[in-house]
Amino acid sequence: MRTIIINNCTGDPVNGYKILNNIVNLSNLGRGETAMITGVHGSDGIRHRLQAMGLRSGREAEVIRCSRLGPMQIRIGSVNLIMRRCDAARVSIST
Amino acid sequence: MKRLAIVGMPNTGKSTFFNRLTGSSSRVGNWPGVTVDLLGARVVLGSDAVEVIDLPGIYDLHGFSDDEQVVRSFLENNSVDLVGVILNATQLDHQLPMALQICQLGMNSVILINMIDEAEQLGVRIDAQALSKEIKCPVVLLSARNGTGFHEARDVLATAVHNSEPLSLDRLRSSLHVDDELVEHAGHLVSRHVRAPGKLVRKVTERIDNVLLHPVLGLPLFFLTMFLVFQAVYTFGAPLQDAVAFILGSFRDWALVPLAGVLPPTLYGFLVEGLYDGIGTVASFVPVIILFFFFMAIVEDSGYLARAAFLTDALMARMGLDGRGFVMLLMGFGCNVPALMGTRVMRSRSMRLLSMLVIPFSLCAARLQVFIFITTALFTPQQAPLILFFLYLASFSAAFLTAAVFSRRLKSDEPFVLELPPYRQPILKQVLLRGWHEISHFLRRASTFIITGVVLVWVLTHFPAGSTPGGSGTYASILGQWMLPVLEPIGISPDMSVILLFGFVAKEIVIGALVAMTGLEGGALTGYLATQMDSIQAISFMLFVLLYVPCLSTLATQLNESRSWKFAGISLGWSLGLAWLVSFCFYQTARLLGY
Repeated sequence: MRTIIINNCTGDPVNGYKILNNIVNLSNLGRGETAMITGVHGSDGIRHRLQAMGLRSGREAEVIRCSRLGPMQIRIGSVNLIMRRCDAARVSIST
Repeated sequence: MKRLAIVGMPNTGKSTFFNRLTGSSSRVGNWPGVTVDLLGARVVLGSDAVEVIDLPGIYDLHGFSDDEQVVRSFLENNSVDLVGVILNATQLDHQLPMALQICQLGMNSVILINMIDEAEQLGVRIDAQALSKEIKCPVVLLSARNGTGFHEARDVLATAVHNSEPLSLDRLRSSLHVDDELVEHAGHLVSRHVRAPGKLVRKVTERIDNVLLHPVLGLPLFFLTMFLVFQAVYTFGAPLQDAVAFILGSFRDWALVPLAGVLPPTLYGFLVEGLYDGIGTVASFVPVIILFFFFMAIVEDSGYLARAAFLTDALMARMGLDGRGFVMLLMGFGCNVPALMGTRVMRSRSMRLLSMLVIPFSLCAARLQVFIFITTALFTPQQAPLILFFLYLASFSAAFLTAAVFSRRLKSDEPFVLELPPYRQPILKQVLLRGWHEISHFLRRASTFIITGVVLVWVLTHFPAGSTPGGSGTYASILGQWMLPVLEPIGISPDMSVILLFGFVAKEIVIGALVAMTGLEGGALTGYLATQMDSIQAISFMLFVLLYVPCLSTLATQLNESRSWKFAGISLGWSLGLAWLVSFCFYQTARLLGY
């Protein structure tokens, strides 16, 4: 599996992951697009948290809306989440 | 006494169920091993007296957030006979793993699948019996909102709690389990026992969101909503405050003064001029606080709070805060204390601390009272609203400045992920109960502060014995003289500096302290104020009052929630310094310009 963009909202590298701009992740999707989640990346705490909120491998995620500067709204099954783009970038997908 | 803990994810109607089960008998309290207050109540279930505790909403028993740690350490330090796990029927695939976690810990549990009314509307069918049989744990379908299945749930809980033994805490501590298997297991269970349409479509919610989360209209609508909430609170609140003041005043004049007249002067002064007037000042806030939480609960329960976070996050992210921080900042304009407690929704400690540093700059209702009093007394009706607007502006600026200064130190890599619940009609009883909890909390907290504060003022202004009340020679004026070198450059007179001392205890007593200190009321007090400061001094004084220190309760809450003396100390030092600097710059500049 490829390395994933991991950055926090200030654009710094987090937890040893390098920022790469050519990797497909949830933040690359546009409104109305869907994709399959293939992994969640980050420290244990972050991964744990995102997974507990429903962002697990094998689930289908749909982008309901994205605000230009702010967060995105993602639907996974019956759950609607709002998350920042930088956090969405922790979620790798396959389309 | 048996003990029943209610556990569930956020947005499962956990509190609705808890309130239906316990009525209004619940109150906030402390439990061993847990550093935050929890809501608990004693009820009779079947033949047993049971203590029911509402634990914070969590996504995962093994998680790393404060709330998750609170739940874990509660379960580890308090013997629990039964756990009621509340699940949202429309999201079983998402929620069942946590229920399985709890069952697997070997805890006696009852699974309460809530919001069955919503699930049925969406076409979800759940085979509770088969599910119960397979996971070997009672499963009840109910709607805490409309009461469907509630009595059955109550009966099942009663039976289960009657037959249960508390789990050995050692065993609990040692049995933790990997989640992935549970998720898989939950998936199998859902596919076998739950029939749901492939996609749950909530047409109403989607339609409302298309308007309220509109890229252009969303933010103006958000500010309009907040504006309307505050208008409603203060439009309805003002006449109610007057009514409370009238009732208290009448009681004082008709009953208290004649009755207490027989007492020795010192005791009379203490009772009537100190204690009763102080209590009256607090009482006048009751309507505004009830109204504030009434409307805030509607905003929260309807699901709009999460939308507000979505809308304001773009702005807040830049300051190192998140959208919830902004909502709490706005909540802080009612009262800082609940807003500080509300920061618990933030999972990251550093972001929480940052929000807790920022919130005390929100111009709360107590400070507003002081400002309204002073602006009404010293400015024309045309000027007064402008001054108030200026103070609100200063409040926001101080908050943003604080966030900008501290965001580097308190940096967070916590993900900002928030569930967006569907819109729901708030339940009147819930909204009222929320107001009741908040007001009883406020009164318990405030009454101590008021009594201490006002008695202190009274002693300081009336002793040593023989001195003129409030005049020179009293302890109060000696204190004022001491503080002169610091406060003179910002235009605050020694008498007013005594008032600042009491504003530290609680802003609510500032006006009461003025009354107690001067022995004046109404027009006479206004006249006295005019002798103490001109308009520039008044603005400088109000800027200082706005920023210098949150009240003692806010400070106590900061200490409580952060569990760090250092943090509370930094917050105190920062706000004192900022207040002095801002007032100094304003006062000296205004004087230089010849005002």
